[in-house]
Amino acid sequence: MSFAAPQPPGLGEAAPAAGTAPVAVVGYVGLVTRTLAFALDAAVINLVAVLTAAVFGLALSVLSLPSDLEKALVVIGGVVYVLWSIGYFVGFWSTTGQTPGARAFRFRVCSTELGPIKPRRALVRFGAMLLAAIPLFAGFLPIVVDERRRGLHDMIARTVVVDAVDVDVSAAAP
Amino acid sequence: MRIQLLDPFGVVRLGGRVVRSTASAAEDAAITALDTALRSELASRAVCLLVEGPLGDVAARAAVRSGLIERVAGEMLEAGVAEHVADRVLQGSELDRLVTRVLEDQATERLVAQVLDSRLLDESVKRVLASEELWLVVDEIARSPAVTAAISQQGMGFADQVVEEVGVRTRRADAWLERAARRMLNRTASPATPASGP
Repeated sequence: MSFAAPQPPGLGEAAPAAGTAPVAVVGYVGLVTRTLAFALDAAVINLVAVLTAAVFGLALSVLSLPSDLEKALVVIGGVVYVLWSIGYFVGFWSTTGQTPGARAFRFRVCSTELGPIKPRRALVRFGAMLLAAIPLFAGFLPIVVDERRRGLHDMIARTVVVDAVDVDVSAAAP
Repeated sequence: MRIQLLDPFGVVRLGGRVVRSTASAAEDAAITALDTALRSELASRAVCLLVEGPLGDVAARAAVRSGLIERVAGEMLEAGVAEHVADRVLQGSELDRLVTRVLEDQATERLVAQVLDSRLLDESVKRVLASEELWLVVDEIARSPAVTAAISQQGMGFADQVVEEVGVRTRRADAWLERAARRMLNRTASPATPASGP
């Protein structure tokens, strides 16, 4: 199956022209589904972080460490948590295009050409997602009005979020 | 050569033929007489007297005591009579008819009802449930690859069903939210927004 690049005005109306390969209709995923998937991802991230922190906390509780070192460990833990969060999203977006939350809700993140995104673009998307969240999540509002249901972070990173059943990223990879 | 010398006129041979034919005729006559006697009412009464009288009991006891019945049964088993009889019964239509008749009989129904109502069944079930062997068998079956595969497949199927349903509902919510937003902004409906949905 081949996929044509999404055409904003004609989305959902793609019809095969005579003598050309059939064109799949791509379904873009909206705000509610993406929010729930993000909540699921946040739960996974925090569950892993809490379990890891608990293990380390218990291990460190039997050691009498200086208070300065404890502060340093807390800072290191915070940095690891941030790195873990970034790595989680960047890793999943740039490999399968699906975080566990997106997999549960059956959608994936891909480039506007419906191909996989590279780690750098995934990193840009993550940074743009933080930016979109800063003004009271206003950066996500374009999802409800945009033709391709893109948020600010999607526009900056040139990505779209599509139904996983509609597109196979590996097949569409250049 | 020696016979010809001793009996030049064949008298001995002639005598032998006469004796043989006489014996054959006598045998036929005896068999005919015996057959007639066995078919007669007298023979029937004699057999009845023999079987019903004390002589029959004595003969039966003697047969049991001497192990005659066991020997006869052993001989029959060795000769494969039991297998032949079993094959004949199993291949014939008599067994089907018999089973059908037994199953359709009201007496069987009553018997089954009595068994089900009886304490015997409850006791049997209790004993079976209390036996360790049963749980070993159940454990073995539960651990079998076929059963575990079936259970996991069913679990996966249920999870898939839930995910599918949640996905459908959230996508409807997406469409509803977008329609509401577009109404507020007085914009035309997006092609990405399906017509269906709440």
